[in-house]
Amino acid sequence: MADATVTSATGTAVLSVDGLSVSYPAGGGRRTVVDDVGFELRRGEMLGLVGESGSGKSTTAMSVLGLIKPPGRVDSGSVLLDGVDLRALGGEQLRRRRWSEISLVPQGAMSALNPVMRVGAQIADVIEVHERRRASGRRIDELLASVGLPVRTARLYPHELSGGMKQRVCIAMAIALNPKVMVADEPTSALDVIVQKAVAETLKDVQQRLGMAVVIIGHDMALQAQLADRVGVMCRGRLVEIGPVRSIFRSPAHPYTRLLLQAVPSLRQREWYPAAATQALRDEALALVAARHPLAEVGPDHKAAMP
Amino acid sequence: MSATSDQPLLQAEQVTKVYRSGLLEQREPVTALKQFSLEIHAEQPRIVALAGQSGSGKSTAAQIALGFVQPTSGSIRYRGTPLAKLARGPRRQFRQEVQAVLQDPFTAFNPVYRVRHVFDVVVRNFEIAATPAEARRAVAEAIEFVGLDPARVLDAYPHQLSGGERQRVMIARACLLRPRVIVADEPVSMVDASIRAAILEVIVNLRKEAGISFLYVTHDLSTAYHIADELLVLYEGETVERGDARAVIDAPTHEYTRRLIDAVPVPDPDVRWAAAVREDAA
Repeated sequence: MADATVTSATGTAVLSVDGLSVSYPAGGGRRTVVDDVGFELRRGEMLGLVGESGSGKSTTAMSVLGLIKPPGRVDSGSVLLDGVDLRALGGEQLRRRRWSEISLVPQGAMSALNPVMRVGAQIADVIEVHERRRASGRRIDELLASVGLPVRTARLYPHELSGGMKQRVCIAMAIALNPKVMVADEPTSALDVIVQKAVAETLKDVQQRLGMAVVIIGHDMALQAQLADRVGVMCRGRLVEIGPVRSIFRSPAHPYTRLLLQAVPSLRQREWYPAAATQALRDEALALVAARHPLAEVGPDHKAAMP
Repeated sequence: MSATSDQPLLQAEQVTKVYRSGLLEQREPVTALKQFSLEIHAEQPRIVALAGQSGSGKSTAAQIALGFVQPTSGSIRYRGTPLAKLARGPRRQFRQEVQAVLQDPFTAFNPVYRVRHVFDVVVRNFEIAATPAEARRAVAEAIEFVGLDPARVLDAYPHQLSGGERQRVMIARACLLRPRVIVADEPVSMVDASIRAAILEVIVNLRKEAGISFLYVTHDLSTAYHIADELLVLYEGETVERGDARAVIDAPTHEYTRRLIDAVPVPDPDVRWAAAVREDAA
């Protein structure tokens, strides 16, 4: 087990984010919602980014893709995709890289698809815009099959699909141009458990087959345990802990990580942590986050923002 | 309270609901709920979980219990009287004794009013207390019971509260009416994990200390395992398994119950998810 950890640690970074800060206007000034966040995404790995609402996890993902819209603003930091700083690129060059080198599976696939366009045409659109040539029907069919959808899906409109099918269509679009990196923003959070499992397995399967590196944003630690190779934990805009999934689950260092782990209901034990104890741990965690400690080594390939 | 206290508080008998849709093109009628039966007695408060995927009929069952939806056949009775036949007085009592807490706490609020408004409406429309001072005390107690600070919450606007706080406000609002039953449709599915346990704890305490029964609708068996006394598993409108919640989850007998259990992700990277689910799932 330890060997596996070390091997993955030596993998090279395909995406590296450094010193990323994002703010939004609030009151008279600006509120920092992503605060000096840095991490690496290694080739072929699935990196989980977890946190609760307001933790900045989705904003981090959006800024990696250059999709922060005013009044939001990226105040500082760099996002290197295979050594190229995406933040230094102009709009047109960034647009060209999106989908072809870095793609997004958005939160809420329901609203991400065009309601008046057939599914096949929407996927073809992504391909044609970037490759400047017609996408063959066979290629669309293969993409749909690769995410577990029947070929006839191409002729359907989004409203004719279930939530799970829509999410699969979004995954098909995100892998259409074989990007190096995919960002999946809570890809299963609106789905019920059985569909969630099926979609999560499709995502994992596609990632492994294509050797893609994936950042998977989520709030459910149990889901991360099943999918991620490494997990980063965010709280109030700060990345507070990052490490191999086993270390995070076996020896969580930051109290906020422990809080998230405690909160997972298990089918194996009925007891849970009383709300009062949880509140105490929460207070401890938030105080530690507010102190803005830098990440420091707490184990092999495992860092936490603690003194 | 009414004299018919030997009657179950809420009783669904062989309830079936068929939806017919399509005005121009006649679509196949959909049977959302088949032969659904359940009793809740005021003297024996229980947390009854209705579990299943979307389309299983669990929300239809909840809507029927609340009187929002009429059954196509079968009966739903409140203290012995069919809901559709309740006279004015008993109907009012039903509206007070059977409360709803829904999935998305944000849509239940009017965004232009402070949270206080939610409670003011309840105090105005129902006999909560004899004097305004007593009413204020009752409101404060209900909010404290769900673990919030009345002074802060009451003056806030809905958007200034987190999802978990909004959900707890809705539970406090329901409690203020001293209900016997709360129908809670996915009350924690949109709430952050670390808050989820606190809300579930409130539900358990309300059962224990205030004697309130819950109809807890969920797609996630893990929370049902933690709080429910009885579990009904619904699949395509049919109740495929029912019994003591822990007994059912520890030793499921129906294939679908097993699939629901297997789909719950295990919070342990060394315990792999059960074998791939069948394709028809999505």
